[in-house]
Amino acid sequence: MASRKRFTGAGMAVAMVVLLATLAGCGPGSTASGPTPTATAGATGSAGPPYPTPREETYQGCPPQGDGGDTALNVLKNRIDTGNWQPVSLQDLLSLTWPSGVEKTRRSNWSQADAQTVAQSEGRPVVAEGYLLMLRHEGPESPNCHDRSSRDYHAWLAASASDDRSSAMIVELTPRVVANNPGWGSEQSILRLAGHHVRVSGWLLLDQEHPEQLHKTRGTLWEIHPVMKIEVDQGGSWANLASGTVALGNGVARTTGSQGQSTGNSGSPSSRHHRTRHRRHRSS
Amino acid sequence: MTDSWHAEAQTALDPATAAEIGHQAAAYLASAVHDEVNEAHVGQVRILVSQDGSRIYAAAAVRGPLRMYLATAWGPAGHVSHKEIASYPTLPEAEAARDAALGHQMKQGFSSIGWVDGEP
Repeated sequence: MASRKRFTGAGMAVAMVVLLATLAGCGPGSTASGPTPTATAGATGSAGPPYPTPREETYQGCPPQGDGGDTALNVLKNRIDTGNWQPVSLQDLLSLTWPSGVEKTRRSNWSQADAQTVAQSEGRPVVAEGYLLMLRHEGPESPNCHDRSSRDYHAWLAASASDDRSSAMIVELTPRVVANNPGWGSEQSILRLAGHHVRVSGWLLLDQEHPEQLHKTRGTLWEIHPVMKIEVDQGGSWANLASGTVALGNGVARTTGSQGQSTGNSGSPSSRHHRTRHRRHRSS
Repeated sequence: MTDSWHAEAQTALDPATAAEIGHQAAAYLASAVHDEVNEAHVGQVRILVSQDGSRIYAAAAVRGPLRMYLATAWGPAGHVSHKEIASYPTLPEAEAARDAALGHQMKQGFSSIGWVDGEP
C-alpha cells in the first residue's frame, strides 16, 4: 500500500510538471496567437501575467468589488493605476474577438480556456485615437455601489465622426478616475467632449454583460475601461484634458484645481483624422 | 415572495388581474435586485398602476450588507422590465426615498393596487 502511495505521488508530480508546461505554452504569455503582450512597468516578467496587476482602492466607502453583480469584473472596472499606454488602431480593437461562452456569464463560471483566451488581451494598456460620437452619464450601477453621486460616463469612440454607434467602441470614465483628474472638469465639461477628435488611454476590458447591444449601440464587447487619460485635438496638437486648459466648444473644460499635467506631447493628431466635426447623437 | 400578494381594499382592477400584474412586477424587481446586489433583502414591494391600467410602477426599500437601497421598476402592466437601484447610507433614508418616489407617481395619476410582502 505504501509503495503504491509513493508511486501515485510520483505520478502526480510528473502530471503536474506536464500540466504546468502545457499551461506555460498556451497561457496568456504565448505568442502563438492573439495580440503580443506589451512589456510595461510593473509587469512581473515572463513567468507572471503579461500585463500589470490592477491596483484599486475603496472609494467613498465602496470597495473595488462594488456591491454585487460580477464582482470580478467590477474589480477590473475600478482599477486606478496608470500604465505604459501602447498605441493601437481603433480598427484593431474593434476586430478583437472573444469566446462566445463568456457572454452574459459571470467570470467565476468561465471555463479556464475561455478565461485564458480573454486574458491575452484584457488588461492591456492601450491608447487609441478616434471621434467621440456621444457621451452619457449613466445611472447607478453595482461597480459603484449604486451610488447616485458616483456614476460612469459611457463614451462612444469611432474611427470617423460620421460613424454610427453600432460600429463604435465604448470607452468608460469611472468616478474614481474622474475624481483623480479634477482637470477633466464638471459633468457639463465632460459631456462637451462629444464630437471631438480625441486620443484615449486606458485599460482594455471585456464587458461580457451586454452582447444584446452588439451592432446596435456598440461594435464590440471590448472596452477601454477605465479611461485613464484623455487628449483632445487642439489645432493639430494633442492637449491633455487633465491640464484644465482645453477648449471644448462652449468654453474651457474645467476650472477646479489642476494636477499640473502637461499639454501637447508625443505626436500630433494624424492627418487622416485631422478634421474636427462636431456631432451629437441622441440617446437610445 | 410572490405568494404574499395583498390587494388594496379599493381598486378599479379585478382581483385576479391585480394579483397577476403585482406578482410580475414584484418578481422582476426582486430578481433585478438579487442580480445586482449581493446578500440583499427586498422589503415590501408597493405596486401602483396608471389611471388607464396600462402602466405599472413598483418600489421597495432594500437592505444590503454595505448599503441600503431604493429599488424601483416600471413598464407595461404584466411586462415590467425597467429598473433602477440607488443606494442610501441608512434604511430610514431608503424608506423615505421610496415614499417620496411613490408620492411622486401618485401625483402623476398612479394609484396603489397592493403590495407584496418583503423577504424575511
